[in-house]
Amino acid sequence: MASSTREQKKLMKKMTKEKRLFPVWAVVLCMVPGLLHYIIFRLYPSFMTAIYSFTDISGLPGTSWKFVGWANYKEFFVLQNTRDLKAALGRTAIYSVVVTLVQNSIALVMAVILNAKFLRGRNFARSIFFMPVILGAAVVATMWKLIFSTPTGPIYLLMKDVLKIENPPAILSSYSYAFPAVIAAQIWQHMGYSMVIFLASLQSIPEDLYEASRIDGASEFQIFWRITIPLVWSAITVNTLLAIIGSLQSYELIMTITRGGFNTATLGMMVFATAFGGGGATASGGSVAGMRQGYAAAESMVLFAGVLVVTIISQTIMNKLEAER
Amino acid sequence: MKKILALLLAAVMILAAACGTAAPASNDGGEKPAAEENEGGEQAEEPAAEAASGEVHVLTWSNAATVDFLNSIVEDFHAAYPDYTLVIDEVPSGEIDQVIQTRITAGNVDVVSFQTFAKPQEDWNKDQIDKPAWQQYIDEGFLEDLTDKEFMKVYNQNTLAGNEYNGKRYSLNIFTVAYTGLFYNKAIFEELGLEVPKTWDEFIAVCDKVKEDGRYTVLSAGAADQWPLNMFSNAIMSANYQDGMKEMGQKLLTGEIKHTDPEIMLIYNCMEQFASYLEPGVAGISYSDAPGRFALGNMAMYADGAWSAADIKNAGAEFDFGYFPLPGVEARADGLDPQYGIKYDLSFAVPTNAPVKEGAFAFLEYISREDVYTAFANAVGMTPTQDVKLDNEFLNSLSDGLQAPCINAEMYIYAPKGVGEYGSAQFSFLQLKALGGPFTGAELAEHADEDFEAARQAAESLND
Amino acid sequence: MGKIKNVPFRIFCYVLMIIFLFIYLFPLFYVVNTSIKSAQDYMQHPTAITRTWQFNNFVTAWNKADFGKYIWNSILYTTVCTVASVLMSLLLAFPISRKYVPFSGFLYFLFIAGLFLPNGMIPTFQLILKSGLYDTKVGYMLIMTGVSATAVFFYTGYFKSIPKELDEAAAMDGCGYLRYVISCVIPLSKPAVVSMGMLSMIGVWNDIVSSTIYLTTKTNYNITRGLFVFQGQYSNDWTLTSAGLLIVAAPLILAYIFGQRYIVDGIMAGGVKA
Repeated sequence: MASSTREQKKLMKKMTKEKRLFPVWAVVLCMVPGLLHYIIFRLYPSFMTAIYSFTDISGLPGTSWKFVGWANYKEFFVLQNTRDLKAALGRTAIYSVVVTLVQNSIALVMAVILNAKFLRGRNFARSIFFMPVILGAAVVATMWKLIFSTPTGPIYLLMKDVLKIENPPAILSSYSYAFPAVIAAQIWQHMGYSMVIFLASLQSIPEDLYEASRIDGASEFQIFWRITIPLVWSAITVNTLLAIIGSLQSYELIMTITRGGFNTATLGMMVFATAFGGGGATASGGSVAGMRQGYAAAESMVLFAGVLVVTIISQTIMNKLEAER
Repeated sequence: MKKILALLLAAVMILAAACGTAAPASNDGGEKPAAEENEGGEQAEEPAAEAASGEVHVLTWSNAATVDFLNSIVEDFHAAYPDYTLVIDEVPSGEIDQVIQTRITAGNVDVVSFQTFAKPQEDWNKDQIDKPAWQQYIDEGFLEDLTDKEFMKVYNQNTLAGNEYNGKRYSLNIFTVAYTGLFYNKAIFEELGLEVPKTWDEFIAVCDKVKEDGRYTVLSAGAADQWPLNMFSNAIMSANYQDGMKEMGQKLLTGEIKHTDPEIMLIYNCMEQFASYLEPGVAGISYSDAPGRFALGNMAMYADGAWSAADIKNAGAEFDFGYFPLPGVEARADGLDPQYGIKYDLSFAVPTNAPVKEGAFAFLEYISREDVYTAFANAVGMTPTQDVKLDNEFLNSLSDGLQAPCINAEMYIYAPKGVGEYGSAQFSFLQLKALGGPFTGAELAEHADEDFEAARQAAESLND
Repeated sequence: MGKIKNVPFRIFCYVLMIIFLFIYLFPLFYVVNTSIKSAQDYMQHPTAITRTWQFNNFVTAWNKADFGKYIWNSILYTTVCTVASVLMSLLLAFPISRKYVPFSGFLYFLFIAGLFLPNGMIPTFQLILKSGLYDTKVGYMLIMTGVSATAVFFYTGYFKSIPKELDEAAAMDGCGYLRYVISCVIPLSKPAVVSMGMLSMIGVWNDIVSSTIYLTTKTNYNITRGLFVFQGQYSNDWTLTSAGLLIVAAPLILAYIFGQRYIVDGIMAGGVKA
C-alpha cells in the first residue's frame, strides 16, 4: 500500500511537471525585476539597518566610518536616557495609545451609525470621512496649518472672540498644544480608514439579528454592546493592530506640520531627524546636524523592536479578550 | 509595454552593479578602517570633475535685500566672467542647515552661506556636545580652505581671524551685523513723547506708555520660527554680561553655575517682562511675515536684527524708523550708552565638491571688488568687513551703538547633547507661559538645571 | 416588516453624523473659501465667507510655486512608478499563486515577511548615494517603485478566481508567457489591477518624505514638495497657499470621485491581511 502511494505521488509529480504550462525560465525571467528590486530595496536595507546600527556612518558621501560596537545603543539608552529618550518614548506611547483608542472608537461609532439603513446621506458621509485618507500628508498638513494659523485663523479667532480666552496660544507653535493638535490631525486623516474596515465587517452581520433583539426590547446601546461588538471583534483586532503599528512608525504629519519642533517628535520622527536633519526636528526642539546615520540606524532598530513587542503583546491581549467573550 | 520592461531591466542591472560596488565597501570597512578612510577620500574627490564653465549656484537664506542684490549682479558678473552664469538659490532661513547638508551631499552647489562658525567641539566639552554641522563639514574635508586666496586680503583681517578654525579660514565673512536691537517707529515715539530708552527700566516705561495709550501694538517679532525671538534672550545676555559671557557659558555647561542662580535668573526675569509686551498671538507670526507687519505703521517696536531694515523699507514702510540697542539692567561700566551685540552675518564658503569650483572663486573675487562690495553693503545695510565708505543712512545711524560692541552671547550658550527638551531650549521664549508655553521663567530654569545635571551624569557614566 | 421606530436613537444618529460631517467638511470648505478670496478681503475678514471670486489666485499660485515645472515631474514619477510597481507585483504574484516556480511558498512568505522587517531608510539612502543616483529622477523613481506585500497578497488572492484551464488553453495555443499575462491575466483581473494601481498612484503623488530625502534640485521636485516649499516661503499668504493646496489635491479628488470603489477595495486589502 505504502509503495503504491509513493508510486502515485511520483506519477502525480511527473504529471504536474508535464502540466507546467509555461517554460520555467520565462516565468522566472519575468519575476527577476520585481525580485531584484525587492531584494535590493527592501530586504537588503532592512538587513543593513541592523549592521549600520553598529557603525558611526554619516550622511555625507565618501566619508570614513568604522564599527563602534554597542556605542550607539549605549548612547541611546544611557546618554539619551537623561531626559530626551524618556520624553520621546513617552510621546511615542501617548501618540499611539491616543490615536489607537480615539480613532477606533470614533470609527466604530460612525460605522455603526452609517450602517443604519434609515439614515439619509450615509453614502455621502462615508465618502467624505474616507477622503482625507487619500489626500496625503502635505495637503492635510497645509490644511491644518491654515485652520490653526495665528493670528488670523479660525481656531485662534474662535478662542479669542467667541470663547473670550485672554491671550490664546498659537496652537502650532506652542510647547503645550502643538502635540495634541498633531494627534488630532492624525486621527482626522485616518479615521475614515478604520471606519471602512468596520463597515465591511458590520455589513456581514445579518439584519435579522438586530430585528430580533429589537423585538425583544433591547435598547440600542445593549444591541451595540452585546451583538455588534462581539461580531466585529476581528475587525477591532485588525484596526487596533493597524493603528498601533501605523502610529508608532508614522511621522509624516509631524514632519509636515511642526518638523518635530515644539515637543512633537516621536521616535519615528527622531530617526528621520537624526539621519537627515531638520531645523528643530530633534526631540528637544534644538537643531541637530542630521548626519549621524549609524546612530539613526540604532534608533530605528529600537523602534523596530518596540513595534514588534507592542504588536505581540496587543495581539495576545486581543486574543485573550476574544476568548473570554 | 515591452519598452517599459526593457527600461526596467536596464535600470535594475545598473542598480545591481551599483549594489555590487557598495556592498563590499561596507564589509571591508569594519576590519580596516584606515583603508576605508583612503577609499573614502578617493570617493569624495571623484565627483569633482570640475567644469570650467557653467552655472554657479549660490545658496543663501531668504533675506530680500541680499537675494535682490545678488540677483541684480547676475548680468554684470556674466559680463566680467563670460564663462560663468550666476544662479541664486534661496531657501527660508529656518531650513538653511538642512538644505546645505543635502546640497553638499548631492554635490550640486558651488557657494553656501553660513553665519558664525560657533561652538566647536573641543577637548573640554567633547563629551557633552556634538560637533556642529560646520565643524563636521570642515573635518570631513567638505569645505575649501580659503586662507591664501587673493580676495581674502582686502577684508578686515581681525574679523576673518575671528572665524578661523584650526588656524585656517574656510569662509569669507562678508558682513557683520548688529542684531540685539529693536526697530522703532519714530512717528509713534514722537506722538507719544517717547525717547529711545537707555536703561532697562526706561525700556519698560516706554512699553508701558504705548500699552496705556492702547492704539498701537507695543512690540512684536517673528516668533513662530523661534530663533528670531530667542535672539533676544541672547540680546538680554549680551547687554547684561558683556565680557563675562564666554566664561559664563562654559560654566553653565560644566555645572559651575546654575540656571537658577540669581545672575542667570536675571535673564529669565527680563525675558518674562519682554514677553509680556509682545502682541497677542505673536507665537503664530512667522518670520517671513514679521517685517511687513511692522511696515504697516501701527506697531511701536519690532524685535529683529538690523539686517531687516531693507526688508522693512521694501515692504513699503512710509514712516521714519530707527533702531536702538536693547539696554541692560545696569548702566555700562565704561559709561557708554547701550551698545549693540554684533555677529557675523553673511559668510560664503565653497564646498570641495562644487561642480563649478573655479566659478565659485570667481564669484567671491567679483563680490570682493570695492565697487561691487560697496554697492552690496549699501543695499543690505549690514556692517562692512572691508574698509569702505557707505552712504546707507540707516547703517550710519548705528555707529553710536557700535563703539564697543557687546560680545555675541549666541556663541557661548551651549546645549549639551541628549539634554532633554528644556535643556536645549533653556532660553527659549516660547516655553514661557506668557507665550502659550508650559512654564514660568523660574520653572524653566529649574527644568534646564535638571536636564543639564542629567546630561553631565550621563556623560560621566558613558566614560566609565 | 414590522420595524420598530426608535425616534430618539434616530435623532442621535443624525446629530452625530452631522457633527462629524461638519468636522470633516469645515476644513475643506475653509480652504476653498480662502482660495478664492482677494488678499485684501483676507486681510480684513480672514474667516468670513468670501465676497470676491478671485480665481486669479490659482493662476498666481501656479506661477509663483513653479507648479508648471513640478507637475510634469509628478506625472512622470506617478506613471512610471505605478506601471512598474503593478507589473512587477503582478509578474511575481501570478506564478506564486499558481505555484509555477519552485519555492513558491517560501517566496510568498518572503513578501509577507517584508511587512514586519525594520525600516531600511538609512541603508537605502547610502545605497542611492553610493551609486550616484542621489538627487536624480531615476534614483527617486527606483525608491518610489515598490513590490508591496499588500499587492502580492491581494493579487494572489485574486488570481485564484481565474480558472487554471485558461492557462492550459493559452499554453496549448502556444501563447508566450508574458503575452499571456499581459493580454489575458491583466484584463481578467482588472479590478485588482486598478485598485493597486490607484493606491500606488496616490502614494507616489502624495510622497513627501522620500522627495525631501532624495531630491534637492528644484528641477527634480514633485508637486507635493513644491507645495510644501511654497507654503514655507509664502507662509503669510494663505489665499495663494490654499489655491496651491487645491491644485495639488485636485487630481487626487478627481481620482477619488471616479475610482472610490477601487481605492476602498485596495486599502481594505491592506487591512484584511494583518
